[in-house]
Amino acid sequence: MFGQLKTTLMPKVTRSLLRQPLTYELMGDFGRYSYSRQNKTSQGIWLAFTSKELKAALQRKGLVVWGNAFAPFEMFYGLDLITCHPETLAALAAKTGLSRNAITCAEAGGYSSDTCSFYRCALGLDMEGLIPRPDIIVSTSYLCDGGVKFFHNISRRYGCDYYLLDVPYHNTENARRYLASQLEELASIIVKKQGKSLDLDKLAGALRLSNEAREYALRINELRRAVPCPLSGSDSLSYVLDMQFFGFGSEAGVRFFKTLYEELKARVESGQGAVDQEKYRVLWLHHIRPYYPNEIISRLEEMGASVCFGESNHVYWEPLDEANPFESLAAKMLANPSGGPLERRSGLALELVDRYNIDGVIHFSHWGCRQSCGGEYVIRDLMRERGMPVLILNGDGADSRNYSREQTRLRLDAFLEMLEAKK
Amino acid sequence: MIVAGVDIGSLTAKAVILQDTDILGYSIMPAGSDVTAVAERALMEALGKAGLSREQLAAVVSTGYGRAKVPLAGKSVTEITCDARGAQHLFPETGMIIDIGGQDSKVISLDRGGRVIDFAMNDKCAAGTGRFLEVMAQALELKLNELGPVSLKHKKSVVISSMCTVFAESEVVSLIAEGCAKEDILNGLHQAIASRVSAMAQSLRVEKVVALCGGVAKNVGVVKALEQNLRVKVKVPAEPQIIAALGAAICAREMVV
Repeated sequence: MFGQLKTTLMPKVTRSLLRQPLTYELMGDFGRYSYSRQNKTSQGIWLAFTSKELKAALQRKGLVVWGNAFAPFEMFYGLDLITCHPETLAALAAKTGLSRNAITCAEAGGYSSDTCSFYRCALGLDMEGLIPRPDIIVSTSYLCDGGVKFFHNISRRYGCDYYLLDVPYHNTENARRYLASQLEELASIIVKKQGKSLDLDKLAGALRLSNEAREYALRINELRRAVPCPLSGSDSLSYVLDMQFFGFGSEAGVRFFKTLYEELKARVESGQGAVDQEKYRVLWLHHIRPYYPNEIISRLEEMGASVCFGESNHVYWEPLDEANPFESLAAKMLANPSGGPLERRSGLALELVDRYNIDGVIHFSHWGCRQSCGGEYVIRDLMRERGMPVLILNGDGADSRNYSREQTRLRLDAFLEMLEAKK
Repeated sequence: MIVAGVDIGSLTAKAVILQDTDILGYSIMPAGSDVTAVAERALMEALGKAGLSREQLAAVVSTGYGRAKVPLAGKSVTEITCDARGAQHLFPETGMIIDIGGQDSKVISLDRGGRVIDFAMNDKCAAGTGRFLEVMAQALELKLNELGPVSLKHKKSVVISSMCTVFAESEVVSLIAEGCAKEDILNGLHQAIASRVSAMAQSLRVEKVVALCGGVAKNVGVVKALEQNLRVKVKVPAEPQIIAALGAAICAREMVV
């Protein structure tokens, strides 16, 4: 009886709660409180920030923009938009077990199982009414192929405007001007929609906040060179990464990175590492990791391997110029090492190996992600020339049906044995 | 010093008793569903063949998918490292090992010191594994040990385009219905496996000396097809199924020393 209630009633109750603004208010407050009790105030700031945006979006307190991970969020905050991040929601759904149903929903709706699971999941969540509806959608043409069509389809579903920012392949002066002009045009369309005029001071303020957060992010990355590494790979590739994608330009972003810096500084000073006995230092390549319950990082940590840096945590852009917001945001977008020729990404990987005193590299190849899988063998061969062990770990970030515990464990254990044999 | 290695694979369990560099006894049996019990049985059978008792063993190392569930082992090591140790023990000049087992296939690159420097494995399906051949043997109404010799008699070249076990089975059934000879179909199946495994090997860089182990290495048709695809002579141990267990025994010896 209880079992039946749990399987039939609970999902309905959960879904109903996730449509209420009050749920997010409580989630934010509870998260802040419980994480601060665990000495993880920064994680509480992240949850409060994410919840606050969701609550505001549900309450329709302003225009709601859906953006992808590489969209210029500084501009959205500078224009007073309420932001919604479907990729984050897909990751959270994977973590909480909501993704299975959502992915099934999307597939039943005709989405191929070869499409990136984050977008399949986000689409399913939207079909279930679990994402606040957008007024505007903005996505970039890079890095995620699946994202362009996903956002386009969502815009057609709601009949809302969709702006695709075309990010050129090469980082040149012309490309910067071209992208900056798109951003400027987008800003003018948005303010017109809001019935306002462009407030350049407010936009400059968002850039200032982004620069402030960037300074702390740089210091955090410096602290991660310490042995033992103070930040766990699991955290750096989840909520820290989320703030890197969506937090810059917001006040919460500055608070988050400042607090995380202080937490890590204290850990380094007391010699506290993410792994008790750090034996190996691992570099994680790919922006994401699997978010459904899995034992990848915990297995590595249990065996003394610290995922001490991920390529997605790298601060690759110069400080933004408050006097030239569109040009400097364009420059930031074009500087992403995962865009453009593969030499940029492979060059960064080699640089990070030296910088973080890496013993081995794990290249996570997310199912359906052509951007990362396309370069894996080139990067592996480059690493191999340097005698650096590499594990190409095929998997899926959001669809747990593509995860095999035993198969994954064998690969991780064999990789760790390679590292041990090399010591 | 006498040591043992136990390999609990997906379809079979194997044990090897090793004294210095000599194999005193070994066993191979179906893995079944009780890993702990089959590990015990495999070890006891190998000890029986060697005329030894459990008390004479200085150490035991387990490997294979069931490696963590063998309480009698002092340590567990992955079959990737164990394959490397075992194959290098038999063929010291080996630079690459191909292991085609019951439910997966692996390619392992070694450095000159016998250390694993890279590996690749098949993902998510039984294509190119022992299980694939078992299904095909059933469809062709042949015994597993007949597949290799029968395929060598092929006269025509048949291409099996699908590597999905289920799709390939239906392709085989259609070919039978079309009157295609069994030996030609089998050769096509072996070529398909060899082509898939060779692509995996080529992704790592094929070395001059390649050793083949795992149950599928007993199929002479697959061995020939692999040699054609890789363009190297493939070395096959006298008993290819026990290489990981042998490697585990070598790890046990190193553990004691």
